[in-house]
Amino acid sequence: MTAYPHAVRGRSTPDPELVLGVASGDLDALGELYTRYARDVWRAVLRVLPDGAHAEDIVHTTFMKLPEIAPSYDGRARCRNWLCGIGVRLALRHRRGSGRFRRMLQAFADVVVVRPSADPERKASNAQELAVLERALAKLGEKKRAVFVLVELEQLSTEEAAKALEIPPATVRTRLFHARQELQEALRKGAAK
Amino acid sequence: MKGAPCPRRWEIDAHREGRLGAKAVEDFRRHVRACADCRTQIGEDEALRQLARSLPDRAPEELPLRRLKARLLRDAALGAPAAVFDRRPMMAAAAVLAVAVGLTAWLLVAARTPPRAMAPRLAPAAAGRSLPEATAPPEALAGTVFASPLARWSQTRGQGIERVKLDEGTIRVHVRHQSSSERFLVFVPDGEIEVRGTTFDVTVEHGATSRVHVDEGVVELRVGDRATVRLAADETWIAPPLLPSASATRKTSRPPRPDVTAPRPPAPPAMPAVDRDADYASAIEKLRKGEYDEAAAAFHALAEASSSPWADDASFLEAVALSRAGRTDAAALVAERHLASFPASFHRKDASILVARAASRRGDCAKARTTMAPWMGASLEANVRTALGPCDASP
Repeated sequence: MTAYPHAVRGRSTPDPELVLGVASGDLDALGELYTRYARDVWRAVLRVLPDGAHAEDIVHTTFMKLPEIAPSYDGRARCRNWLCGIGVRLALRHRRGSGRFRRMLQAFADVVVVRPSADPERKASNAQELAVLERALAKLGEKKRAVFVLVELEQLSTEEAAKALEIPPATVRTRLFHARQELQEALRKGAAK
Repeated sequence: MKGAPCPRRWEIDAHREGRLGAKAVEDFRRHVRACADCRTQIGEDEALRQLARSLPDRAPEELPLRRLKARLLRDAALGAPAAVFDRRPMMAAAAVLAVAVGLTAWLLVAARTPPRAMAPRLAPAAAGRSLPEATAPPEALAGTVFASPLARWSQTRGQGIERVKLDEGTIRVHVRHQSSSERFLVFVPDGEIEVRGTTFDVTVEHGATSRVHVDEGVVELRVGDRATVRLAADETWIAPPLLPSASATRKTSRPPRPDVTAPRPPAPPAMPAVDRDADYASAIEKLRKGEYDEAAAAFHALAEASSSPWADDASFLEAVALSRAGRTDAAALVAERHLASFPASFHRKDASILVARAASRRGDCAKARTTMAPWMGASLEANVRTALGPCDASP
């Protein structure tokens, strides 16, 4: 009788080894890293792009770029955080690009950008606060939002976020401080209404 | 009136991130006990953090994730460029605006210009020649080719005929729809492929076409002295294997699987994923033909490869093949492993049925019922009832 051991290769392989594998063109390693972290990257990207457009393409690009940028992974940051950082940076770049394009169109003619409204069926007990926070997060400047998403939602350290966004750690702290201030102010105003 | 913020607020994050030294930590903690502003700020920060983390999870469902994985691995294998963000809607809007502005300007100018003043459309020197000759610009290519890194290929176009020549490696070709006067041909060393408008992959190994897979549209394949093969969407043509030696036949009772530990021949990285597609098609074919043991082995090999987009399905189909081979216990074992490896699998219910059926036959009603518990509502569906067998009536 044939034995059927089912240990999937790579499932227990440490992340840094998989990243090295990706750098040398190992598709198994790429597939395994995708399985582990694509959902997290996708979530972070969606937080940075409130309208959610192109999130799939950005996640695709994040992983497609891995063979090229894998050698830069020094293993100090957690791989998940590193990948989320790359995804968020690509999302920011994309947003800036499309933002420029929108501004160009607006100069040409009035273009109304329709944003999806908040989900009316929020079930959480603090639904109103969450709705206020979500709106405030969407209104936050993109740089501050990226820092807030990475540090407070995705739980990257200041250093990891700084590396991901290619800015000094002090800038991360400053942006985070102002992001919190704006969000807390929005929550206070929301509560006062 | 609110007083000025505490100048030591910046230490809140430093303390939380562990950037303060031991002495500074003690000092800051003492300060917080006495500073209402810092205490309030710490509370507000924490409340915001908790609230933000309870925002609705916008992570994608399993299906888009799996679809993207398949796309990613295929593109990575083919060395395709990273996704180009689709700005077509915005480009279209810009184009419409530009045309509108241009048209308005032209109408304004035209309204002021007498019709007789309009210049003739052709320059006198060109008047004696036919229009295409006089104005023929270089023809735009109809096909987009993504090639694996080591592929050797070329692309030319002239007089409505586009020719892609592939000597070695894998290319993925997307061809826009061809008009009746156009032809699109891919020349391979041992034949040619003709398309009208499609997306497909073709692989040439050691000077011979080894595989053609069509994603969209239809292609006609003429290889060697074989009859023309017409492939539609999702169909794959795989070259028949060369006559193997007796020992090689024995060794390959299971389908070959790329081995990342052994040194590989200098093939492009396209090969593993492309081969897995072929392996999957071959395993399905075995299952259809009733070669259940061979199919189980083939699916097992695919399930082991984590880069395979088929790993989830293959793992389940391995259990199906074993079940059809009459190896109920082996099927149940593999189905259990499938459930453990892919908790969100689309085949969860069917895999559970295989596990429950085997348990029921062994008389292990507790296990059968536990396995089917998620599907045991007020009334049992027929397949759940069948899976439980005699255990359905037992307490």
